[in-house]
Amino acid sequence: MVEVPLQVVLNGLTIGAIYGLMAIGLSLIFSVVGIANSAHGGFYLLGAYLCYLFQMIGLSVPLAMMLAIICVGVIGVVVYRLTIHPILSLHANVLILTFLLAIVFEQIIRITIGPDYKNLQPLVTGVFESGGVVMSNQRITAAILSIILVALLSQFIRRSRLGKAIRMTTQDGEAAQLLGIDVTFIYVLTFGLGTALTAGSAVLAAPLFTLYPAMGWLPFILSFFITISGGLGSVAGALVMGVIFGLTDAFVSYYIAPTWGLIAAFLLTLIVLIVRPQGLLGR
Amino acid sequence: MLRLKSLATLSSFKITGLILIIIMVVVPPALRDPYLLHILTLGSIYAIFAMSWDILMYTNQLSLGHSFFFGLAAYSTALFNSSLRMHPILAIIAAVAITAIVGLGLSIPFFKLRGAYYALGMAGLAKIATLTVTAYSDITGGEEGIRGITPLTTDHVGNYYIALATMLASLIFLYYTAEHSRFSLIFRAVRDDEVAAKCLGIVVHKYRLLCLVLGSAFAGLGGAVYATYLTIVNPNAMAIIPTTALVVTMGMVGGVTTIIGPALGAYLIVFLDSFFRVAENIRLLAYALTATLILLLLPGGIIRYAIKAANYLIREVRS
Amino acid sequence: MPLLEVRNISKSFGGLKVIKGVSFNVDKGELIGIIGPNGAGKSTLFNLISGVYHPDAGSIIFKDEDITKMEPYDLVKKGLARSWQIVRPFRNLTVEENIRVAFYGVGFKDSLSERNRRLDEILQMTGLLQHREQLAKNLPLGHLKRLEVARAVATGAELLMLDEPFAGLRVDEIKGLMHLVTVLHSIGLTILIIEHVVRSLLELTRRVLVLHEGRLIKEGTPEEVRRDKMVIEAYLGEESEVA
Repeated sequence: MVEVPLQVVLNGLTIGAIYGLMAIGLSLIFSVVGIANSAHGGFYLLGAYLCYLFQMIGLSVPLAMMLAIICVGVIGVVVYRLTIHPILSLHANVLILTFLLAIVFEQIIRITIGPDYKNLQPLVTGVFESGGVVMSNQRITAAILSIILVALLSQFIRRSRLGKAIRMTTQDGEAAQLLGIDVTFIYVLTFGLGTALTAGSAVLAAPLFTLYPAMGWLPFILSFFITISGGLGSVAGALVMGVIFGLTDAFVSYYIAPTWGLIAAFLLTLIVLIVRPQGLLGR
Repeated sequence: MLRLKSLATLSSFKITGLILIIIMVVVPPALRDPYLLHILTLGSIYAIFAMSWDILMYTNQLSLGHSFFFGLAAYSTALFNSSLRMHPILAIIAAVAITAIVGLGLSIPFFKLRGAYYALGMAGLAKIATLTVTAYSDITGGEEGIRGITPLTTDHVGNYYIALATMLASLIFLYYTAEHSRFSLIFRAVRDDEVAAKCLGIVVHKYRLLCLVLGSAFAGLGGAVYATYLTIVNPNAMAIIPTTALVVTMGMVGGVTTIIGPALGAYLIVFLDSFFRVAENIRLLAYALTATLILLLLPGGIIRYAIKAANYLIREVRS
Repeated sequence: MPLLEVRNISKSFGGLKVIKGVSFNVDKGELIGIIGPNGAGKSTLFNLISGVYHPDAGSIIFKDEDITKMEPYDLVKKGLARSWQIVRPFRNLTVEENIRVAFYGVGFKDSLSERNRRLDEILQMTGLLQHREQLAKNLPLGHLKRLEVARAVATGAELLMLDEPFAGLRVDEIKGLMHLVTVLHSIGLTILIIEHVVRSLLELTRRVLVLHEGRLIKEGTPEEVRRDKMVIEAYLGEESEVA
């Protein structure tokens, strides 16, 4: 029975990569703008439902995905400018404000589209089967695209001019300002980019699960955990922690019981946090 | 941040408080409206909970998992009462003792965590506990929870007075500890700069520990009274969403590190929530939008503006 | 017997060695300066001695006791207090309350009247008497620098460690603060001052240590130090000069 653990490992790895992508949007905003965006799950929700709406009006799956990502990015920018930026220095207020925004998003979706379960069409259909391993093609695609997106993001931040401005702002906002970088612009841009990434993770991951108005809360809590225990601002840390989380979940679910999978995974991240208060790959 | 003491002269502060207490004791039971009494009873219970969250803020401990203590006490009370057949009052006392001890024990792993890391550690704890409670359905009843807890009384007015008295006792105790005891100065120093305080000889973790134990014990008191009042407890009582979310909103809207503010915030949020109940479909939306507006327009919390307004009125009346 | 002995301490942050085997002694009643260019590791050295960080290697002895692993709040009670280069007042406390925190921290057993007398004395000495009721956040930098010293003195310390007390001040403010340091020295306190440049130490002390890239490269009188070739080279490329 070598195949069974392999299936479990692959389950853990794929879901872990997707978790990693879910967390990146939160991590980016956290490290650049310096705020905990509790509306993270709300943007995830918007991404999934906008994609659903675009599919409903007959757009092709890839087009619906792209449009949803762009729309959420724009919504992110508008929301940031109108509500978060004016109270940026009050960290606790931002935390609660964004939290309330997530409730607002959830309720708008519930009232306009309805509380019942919906399904999102996947980018690719069918099932991959080989050597006793069974996995939906969407899951494999989502995992691979997640890793590609994370790699692209870290290259963008490392190499592009804009990326350098973002890094500068992260390290020292005041110094960046002196060098002529428009810090507000960078914040707005990062928030839009972060929320767009979150929507990206939603349109990739949501076809694996179902859509309902409260669907954003678990990804939010998960992302929060993965971001902080991976080390704030560490893209690699988020990905590694995401995979560890996914693997733990998969193994415990398989060997003990599905209900204990998430518990064990959360417990593990909590232990990481307590043993390494700066996070797994944090400095 | 403004301090209440410096805003209001002590005598006007005491007089206003006394008048408010008398109104709270006399008026609601006289109106003979069971629904109003229910809202006020819930408001009082949440006020205890909100103040317990606020005392942690006195030493920079922003807890995003405070529902853990509330739920822990609610479940303990339920189990002591239904499985061990303990009298509800004994069950409440035992539950509060347990949450206080758990809070004491938690100070060890949370010793080094600060800021967002601390907030998240607490959130993780609440999440794990909620998942565990749901999974251990043999003992906890899973999603359904535990029903049939013996109430302290079935009388509306009786329940209201129990909740109000517990709330007032908690308020007086926590307010004096936080604002008028010898700890007050240290709390404020620690809040401004922990490292500088350490370098002047303040053993910061002792004060953090004190606040954590008080915070967990009073959250436990709120949770235990909640369980005996509603006679039912389910995983929601422990869950970050809605319960931690609720208490944090109450605290922020009311005004942090004032003790009285979060208590007022609790009544306000419970009222808002029931006010919007008339339009069930948009209730949560309206509630969240209102709270958002309060946060955006009154970032220091309503208590600070309320006191400013009261002072202004007093001045106007005198001149 | 020296009051403070620093024995070969080292400290790295994330692979970057900031302090590389520093040793020196401070005798009781001495007033000693440590200078060094930006990034020399001066503030880290202070953080190590005051217990904010702990060294990776080496030991620190204070009054014959190994304090290497001790926490700041214990060190203060043993008589070692510090100030901060970038001032760290309790911003929402008044000047008087800021000082009372120090009294509370070291746990004075004296009577209330004795404590109040001591408070007035410190306020008088540091020239903050008229500002006692003001919130720290409303004070100008010159006053905050003096509040730093006042809080450290209030702990009843024997060894005062002052981290760039003169930085950012006007000439007249520096003069006032220098006078304060001289007074504190004359009443028997041992004082260790970090400064960026040697200029302000010229009239204060006879002994200066020079820290450069985590090592002590020179020890001598201020006059010797400012003419030393190695020291001048260490400061090359900086806008300010040694003198």
